[in-house]
Amino acid sequence: MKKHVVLMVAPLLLAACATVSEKPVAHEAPIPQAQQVQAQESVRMPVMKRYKLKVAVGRFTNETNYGRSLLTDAELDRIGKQASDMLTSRLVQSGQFIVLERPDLNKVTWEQEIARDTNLVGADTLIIGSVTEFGRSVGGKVGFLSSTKVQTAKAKVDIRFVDVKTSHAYFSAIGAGEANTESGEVAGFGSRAAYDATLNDRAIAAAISDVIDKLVSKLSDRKWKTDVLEVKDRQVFISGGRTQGLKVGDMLAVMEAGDAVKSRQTGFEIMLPPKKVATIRVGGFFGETETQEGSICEIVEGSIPKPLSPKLFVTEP
Amino acid sequence: MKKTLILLSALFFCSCAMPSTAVRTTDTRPSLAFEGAPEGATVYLDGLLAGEAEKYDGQPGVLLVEPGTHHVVVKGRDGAVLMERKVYVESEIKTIKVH
Repeated sequence: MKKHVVLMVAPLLLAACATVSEKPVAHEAPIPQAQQVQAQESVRMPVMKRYKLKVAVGRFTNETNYGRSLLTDAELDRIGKQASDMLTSRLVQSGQFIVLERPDLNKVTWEQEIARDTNLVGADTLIIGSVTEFGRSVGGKVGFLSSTKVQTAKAKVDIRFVDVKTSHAYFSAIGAGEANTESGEVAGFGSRAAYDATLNDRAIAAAISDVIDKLVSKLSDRKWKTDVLEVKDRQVFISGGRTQGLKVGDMLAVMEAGDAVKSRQTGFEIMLPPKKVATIRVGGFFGETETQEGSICEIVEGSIPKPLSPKLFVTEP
Repeated sequence: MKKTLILLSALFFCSCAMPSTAVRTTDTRPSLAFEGAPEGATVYLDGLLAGEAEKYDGQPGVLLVEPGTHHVVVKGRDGAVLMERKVYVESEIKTIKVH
């Protein structure tokens, strides 16, 4: 009888124990790291023709009540600057955008004044957003002779992509992140953790990574299109090369854009259909970096009148 | 003999209380976890076979990857693509749901 009671009570006691969650165990992929990096680089090359958006961070601030009382800067926004730096560096790291510096542009122009060399480029899209949710909580469980304590920091960021020409906000994304530290003890033995200040930064970092992940996975590439740089006899030099997915032998169409007419319905400008003026074939490439590269093409059909019209553009046939 | 012992034990206790400083770089590589992948499903990371999805279900196994953008594909036992997407990770654990 006594044995039965013990057997019944023991599992109940164990079930009443507050236990710490299992810590993730990271496994290395069964592929050498160098090979992984090489594969990551190779998948960056586009399968289809596309070009990267030129983006600049217009505003990225902290709009929550957290972190606005102590250690603030002249603009009362310490977290906003930190988050803006995280966003910019992650946009660059994603490899999916051409990122232009805006928050510290005065430092760049200062250097340009010293070097007497300026070549600032305008962005197609402004990224505007903020840290919209941010806070900390402490929770935990209490069981039979045992307890756990979980410190959690949660953050949410909202961003939108705004077309510079029309001010049309054409894409938005929300990212959420969470960081926690869990400690637990049984009968006075176990782990302890005091206030972990890095959780705040980690939660913001995770939220920003999440929003970049949404951009990378959901923001579709724009229809590929480029411009004619120069025409010499039958040779045509165009912007863009290998990193935009162009290959030797590709056939492209040189088009002349139609007139822009303002729609009374939407108020936006609508381009009338373009007219094809020539067909060109890609023969080779020039330029070192993705912002400097171009292609050398040959006219196969039609002709490109000189002087070059600003309405000319190149696209897939 | 007694004095030597006292001296040695004093030294021993002193060494116990010595502060230690260590400066090191930390591995902040991110990880991927695949939730809901069926039995026998395999993970392809940037076109390379990374192993069975079950091993990286987040309970507690996760797959360590390089920071940045990756092309991730999960294939079923029959080779059918169950999930294919671009993923961006920096230093956190990203859970990918496979339906």
